[in-house]
Amino acid sequence: MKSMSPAFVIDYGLEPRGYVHMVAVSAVAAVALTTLVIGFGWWTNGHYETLLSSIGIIAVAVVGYQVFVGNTGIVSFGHPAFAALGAYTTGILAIPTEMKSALLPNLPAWLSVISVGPAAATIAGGIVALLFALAVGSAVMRLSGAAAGIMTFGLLVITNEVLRNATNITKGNQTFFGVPRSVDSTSIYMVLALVIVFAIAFKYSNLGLRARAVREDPLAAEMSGISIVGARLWAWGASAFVTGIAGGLLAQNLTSFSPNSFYMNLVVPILLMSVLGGMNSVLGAVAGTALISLWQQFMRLAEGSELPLVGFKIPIGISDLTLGLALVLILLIRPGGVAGDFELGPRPKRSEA
Amino acid sequence: MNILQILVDGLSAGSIYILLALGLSLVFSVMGLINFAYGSLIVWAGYSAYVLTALGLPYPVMLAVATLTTVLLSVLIGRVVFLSLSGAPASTLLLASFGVALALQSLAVVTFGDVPRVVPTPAVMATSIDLGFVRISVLQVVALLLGALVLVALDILVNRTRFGFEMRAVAEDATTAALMGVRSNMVLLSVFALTGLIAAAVAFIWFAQVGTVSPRADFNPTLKAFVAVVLGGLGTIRGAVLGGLALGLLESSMASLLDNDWLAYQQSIAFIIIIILLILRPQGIAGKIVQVSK
Repeated sequence: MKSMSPAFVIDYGLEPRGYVHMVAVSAVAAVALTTLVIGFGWWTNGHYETLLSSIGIIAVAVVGYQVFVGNTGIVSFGHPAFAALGAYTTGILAIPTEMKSALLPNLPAWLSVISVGPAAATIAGGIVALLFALAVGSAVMRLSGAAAGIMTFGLLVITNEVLRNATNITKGNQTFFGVPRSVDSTSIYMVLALVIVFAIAFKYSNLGLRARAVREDPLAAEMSGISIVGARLWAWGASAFVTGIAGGLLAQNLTSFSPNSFYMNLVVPILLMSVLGGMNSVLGAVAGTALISLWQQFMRLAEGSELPLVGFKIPIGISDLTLGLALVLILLIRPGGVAGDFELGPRPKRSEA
Repeated sequence: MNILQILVDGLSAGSIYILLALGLSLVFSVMGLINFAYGSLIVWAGYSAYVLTALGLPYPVMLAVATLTTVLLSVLIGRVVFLSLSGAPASTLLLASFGVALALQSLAVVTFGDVPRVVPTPAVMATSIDLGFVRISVLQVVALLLGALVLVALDILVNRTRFGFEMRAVAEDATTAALMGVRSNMVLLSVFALTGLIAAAVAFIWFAQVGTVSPRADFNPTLKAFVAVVLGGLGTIRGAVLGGLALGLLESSMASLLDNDWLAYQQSIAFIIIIILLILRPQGIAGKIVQVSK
């Protein structure tokens, strides 16, 4: 019996020349995408600045998500936790020291005297997410796929609970505000280009290949001397770092947020964009983000208003309903998503195992 | 600090968690699906109770019809979504169930709005009996009895009947079972019916505790079920029972041992304990060693 889901097919490793070729193609494509978006923003006089920025940030998050889910095949519900850690870290570090006593009076002394620039704060956000991922990773990654999925959900619950209760540092349930707005669509899409190249470089590196070997057949991979936990852990850490960066960008773009900005309502879009585009493809991650973002934007305009063509009011909640049904339908019709496992660049040799 | 009280509270909460874990674990054992939409079934059982009461049905009839609705909903979802995906990788099934949960939740928002709706409960459930050394509510007694009843019935069903035999065969090896003449689709649908029944039973107790149902009320039951199954071990009845009990006792002892500052971190503490346990025993308390490739 042929497997129901042809989503995952094992690749052979690329030769060094093929690897350089692959990364170069992705770099060209990423730069082209960035140029196109920045050009579009310039052409429309920044009219769509807010929309473009938010799509760019979620794209960074989804590409980061792809680094883990695509390479390991483990569905994660916990990635918003990394975004949250990135956002709060960046926020705390980026707020100027003279404002800290007013905004966050109970901050521990050593944190209240630090203030760094936007780039350093964003990278610090990624690093904190990475450290958290490594701390919990060796426990979570040794579980079988399904149980690991549940535990990633647990990580999200833990992070949310800690953020809501560590009021001295995060203001708890209250909105965390006052982060300087230091990113715009130009810088966001430049980061996105870097992240896309990083995701491709990781996917076709030996580390990525090992993770994908474990994904396809853990037993065979382990027999070939690959550590299951180790192979997954690299993808987990890399993915957490990128998602933390996305959180940092989000903090500096929104300037105010709360723990619930990084809960179930962030899990849903990330998952959907990734699945719709194709979890096994970086190109798919970008495509899925674009498609779902545009659909959400359309529904946001439509919800609660009267559509000229339909003639009746679209009730609130329809947007999520369409997303839920879309997720089920994609999995039924095309479990590999729009892109399947297609990437721009040379096609690696593969076995239809 | 009354150890007996902790025990009683823990056991009664535990019996609800056992039921939750059982519903999740049964489906997992036959088709490898971790059903994210399990909490949604409970929520919709609550909404059926609300609607049927509004229609003027007397309580016992309402209970029966609401249970039937939940069973039908579970079978319907199983037939339309999960049966079409049987044999797909666990991640695909998990994602599909997440989609179903999202759809059911937003359908509840569209139909009933975000306002909580009252789920009726007989007043007697809220009364409690004080035995001097321990206090126990009628609801807790009902939860314990219902938990015990379901467990015994399930044990007989799984171990003593032909259906149970077929179910275990499908769980063991679906292909071979099919070759031996087991109609595995019928078995799967029956398991979905069974989990629908269990979901209705849980809903009955769950909403007696909280009183109202709202679209996002699926989150907590799903979370508790997840914790209980991972704690106990996925896919076995023994695992569900041990996991549910462990979670119930853990929560009741935390509730009486921890002060308010620490109590805010209750779920985190529970998860950290699980993570430590899983480092020592990745398959859970009673889980089978999970086969690495399938």
